[in-house]
Formats: sequence, C-alpha cells, structure tokens
Amino acid sequence: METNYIFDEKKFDALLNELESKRQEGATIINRNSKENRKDNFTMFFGFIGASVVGFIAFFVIMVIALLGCLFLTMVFDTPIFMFLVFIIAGILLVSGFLIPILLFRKKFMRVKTKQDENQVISKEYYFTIKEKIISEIIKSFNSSFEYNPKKAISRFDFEQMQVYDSTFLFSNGYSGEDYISGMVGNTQVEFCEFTTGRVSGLFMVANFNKNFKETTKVLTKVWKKTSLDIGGILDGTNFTETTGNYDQYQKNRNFYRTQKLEDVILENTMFNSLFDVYSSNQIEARYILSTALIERILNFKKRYNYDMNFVFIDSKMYFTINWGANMMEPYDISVSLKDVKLDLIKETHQELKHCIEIIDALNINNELWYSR
Amino acid sequence: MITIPLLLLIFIVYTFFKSYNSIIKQRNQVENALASTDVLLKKRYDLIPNLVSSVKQYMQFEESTLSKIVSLRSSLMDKSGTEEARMKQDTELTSLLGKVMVSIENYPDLKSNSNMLHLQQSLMEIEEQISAARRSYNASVMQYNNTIETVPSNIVANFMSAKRKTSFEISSSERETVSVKELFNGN
Repeated sequence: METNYIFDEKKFDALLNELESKRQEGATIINRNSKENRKDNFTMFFGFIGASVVGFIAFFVIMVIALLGCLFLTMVFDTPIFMFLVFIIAGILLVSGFLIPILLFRKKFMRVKTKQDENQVISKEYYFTIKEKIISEIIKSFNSSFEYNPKKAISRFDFEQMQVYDSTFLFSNGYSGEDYISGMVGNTQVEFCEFTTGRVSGLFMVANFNKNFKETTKVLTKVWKKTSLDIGGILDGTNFTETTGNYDQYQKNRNFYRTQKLEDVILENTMFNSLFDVYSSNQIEARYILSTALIERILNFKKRYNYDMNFVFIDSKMYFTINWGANMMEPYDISVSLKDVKLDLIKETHQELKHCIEIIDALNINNELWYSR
Repeated sequence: MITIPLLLLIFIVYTFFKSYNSIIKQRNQVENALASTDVLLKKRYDLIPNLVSSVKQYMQFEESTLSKIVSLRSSLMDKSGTEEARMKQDTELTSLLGKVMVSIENYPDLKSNSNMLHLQQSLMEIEEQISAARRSYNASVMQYNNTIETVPSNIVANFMSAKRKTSFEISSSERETVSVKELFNGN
C-alpha cells in the first residue's frame, strides 16, 4: 500500500489546462454541428409541413379531376372498368406523396445524422478522457493505492458467486458494470465498481474480511410486498413499504436457498431479523461472522443508507452490494468549463469515494489486530 | 358421514407425528450445538499450557493467577462436577485469562514477542467462536422451548416428558475480556 504517490496540484492544473483546450475544441465543433442541425431540422420540419399542405391540395384537386374524368369515360363507353382507374391514380398519388419529400430531404437528413453521430463520438471520447485522466487522478489523490479503470468491472464470476441476483438463473438479467477501483482501505484489500443487473444498479464491493471462514453466509435485505399493510411494522417503527426490492425475485431466491442446503439463521436481534434474512451453511460460523457488535453496525449502516443491501460472506471475503443506483464518478458535460468545476469535481468524487468505502469503517472490519497475523 | 371423523383422525395423527419429529430434531440440534461449544472450549483449554509457558518467565508477580488458571483448566478437562459448577469455573477461567491478557501490556518484551502475539490472536479468535457457538446454542434452545411450549406440539411434548432447557447466559464482563480496546489500552 505504501506507494510514494503525492498529489501534485500544479501537474493536475497543467493537465486540466491541456484538456480544457481540447474540450473547447470539441465543444465548438459540437456547438457548430448542433447549430447547423437545428437549422436543417427547422427547414426540414417546415418543408414537410409545406409539402403536406401542397400535397393535400394537389391530391384533392387531382382526385376531383380524375373522378370526373373517369365518370365521363364510364358514361361514354358504358363500362364500369374505368372506375378502377380512380383507385390506381389515388394509389400512385399516395405513394409519391411519401416519396417526394423523402427524396427532397434525403441529403439534409443524412447530413443531420452524420453530425449527430460526430457529436456523440466527440462527447463520448471526452467523457472517457476525463474519466481516465482527471477522475483517476482525483481518485489517486483520495487514496494513493487505488487503481481506477472506468470501463472495467469486477468479474462476472465474483458477481455470480454471490447468487443474490437473477444473473445465475436461466432467464438472467445479465451483469454489467463500470468504474472499477481496487486498492487498500487501511489494511483491507478491496475492489469495488458500479453494477447493473436487470432494473437494479448500485455499488458492488468485494473486500477481505477480518475473520477466517470457509462456508457461506448470506445476509439479504428482506423485501416486503408493497401491497400488504404491515401494521406490526408500523407499530414498532419498522415500516418497510418503501423498499425498492423485487418481491418475486426475493421469493425466488428464498426457495433457491432452501434447495441449496442453506439454513435459515435466526439471530438474537429482532430488529435485525425483521430487516434482513440470514442464510448459512453453518449456524456457528454465521454467528462467528455476525458478532453482536457487527449486527449493531450493520443496523446503524442500514439506518443511515436506507437502500436495499446484501452481504455475502464466502471464503474469508465479503461481497457487498447496495442498490443506490448508478451515478458514480460522473464527469461534467462537455459544455461546462473544466476550470469552473474543478473544485466541485474533486469534492464530489471524494464524497462518492467516501460513501463507497464507508461500509469498511462502518463494519469495523479494518481492525489492525486481526491483520497482524 | 364417516368421512369427517376419519379426516379428523388423520389430521390428528399427522399433527402428532409432525410435532414428535420436530421436537426430536430440535432436541438433537440443541445437543449438537452444545457439543460444538464443548469442542471449541476444548480448543481453548489446549491453548492454555502454551500461554502459561510463554508468559511464565516474564510474569513472576502473576504466579498465583497462572497456577489458578492451570488448576481450573485441569478440573475442567476432567469433566467432573455438575454442569453448573463447570460453567462457573469456565467463567472464572475466562476472566482470569482476560486479566493475564491485560497485564501482558506491562511487559514490553512479552508484548512484542511474535509467539505471544500469535497466541493472543488465537485466543481472541477462539473466544469469538465460543461466543458464536453459545449464541447458536441459545437460538436452538429457544426454538426447542418454543416448540415444546406452544400448541399443539406441547401436548406431544407432555407425552414425551420433554423438559424445558436453559440457555447460556453470557455475562457482559466475559465478553469484555476479549475486547481489543482492553488489550491495547491496558485498561
């Protein structure tokens, strides 16, 4: 963990200046493009309206003439075959009514599209440049041991090992993530990233736990059906109707763990039991991990961040997810000057990092004595 | 007309067997939990000679404490005496061990000894495990007591003359003996 990294503000400012000029270039192009696009869109919009009005009138006039002509022909030749001509003419008119404007505005439309694509490429490139250069530097300034990769995530294997979300089941929601950070928090080796699976997203963390264990213990947030009026919960102040969890998924998981030889663990703390479900393959080991002190700490943490959170303890490691949505390490838009938001960016990134690693301190798994072995 | 009494009979027999089985299962679980606690306690007793021998040369003052620990350990290992007396002895042993742990602070040579450090950690870990095992025992006792005292399984429990079991009481002082603060602040 002892890397001799020192946050160099002068260097950081130089980097910021360099990127700022790049940003200005990009922003100018984007501005110009969107200005031209606005103009093109404007012409196209009114062009279409004009074409529709003219087309409608033309359609009406031509149809009247065609109808009269066909009536005349029908009467002259005394055969109804000419009435079909009316339908054919109407068909041709309708098709050309769609075709003519498309042919007229095709070039403009394509131009708008290419410019839009160009804008997207520029802002995406900017987005990742900022993440890779600026945000990673800020993260280093927060904790010098942190390695940051905006495009990577914790491995799918680790996520599936949790077996909390649907990703391991047949019709899985998949797993994706970004903003991967690994490093040391005090004496604890941690990795964390943003994750998304199905409609759920938030922080996913894998940390070395301070106790050694072999078997599996899961602490999962209880999910209550939103429709049920939980009078007992209201009475003792544990009103769970605000939960964001997926009840069907929750039931599915419960059944899954029962078939997995994981037993229900009933702990002494009733408040804890009403907020979390604990499953384990070993009753004693579950209580060894979840000491009375740790239970209190988890409860306090839950009180502070009232999001759904899950803890899985496997093989002396803690897998932790908290579903607070995906909004970590986001840089500002390309239209915003980097110099203006420099302090905000640093402040916000530090704040986010603090929130992310707070669980380590909150659970006090960073205890030195345990680690000196 | 006969179906209703028949169904009732089937239901009663079913309930009887179900209650009977759950009582037996839960009783076994309680025994299992107790056995696990014993295993862990044994593990701790095995650590004691090690501790005593490494501490002895440094702590002349604590001679009486150490000899008391040794004698307590041997009587606990014998498994003589009633359950209650043993529990009392165990509590005493735990508090004495805590005392030794605290006084280690006064001996810088001993404190920095890597062997000692390792022992300390092992003891601390085992204390945590013992406490976990006791909590697990208490949970299974509670489940068992609930079963034999609630309707309808209490009727079956009466037939079996199943008795209520008592749970461990973990005194607060006992838990404090392994607290990190105490170990480091020498308080």
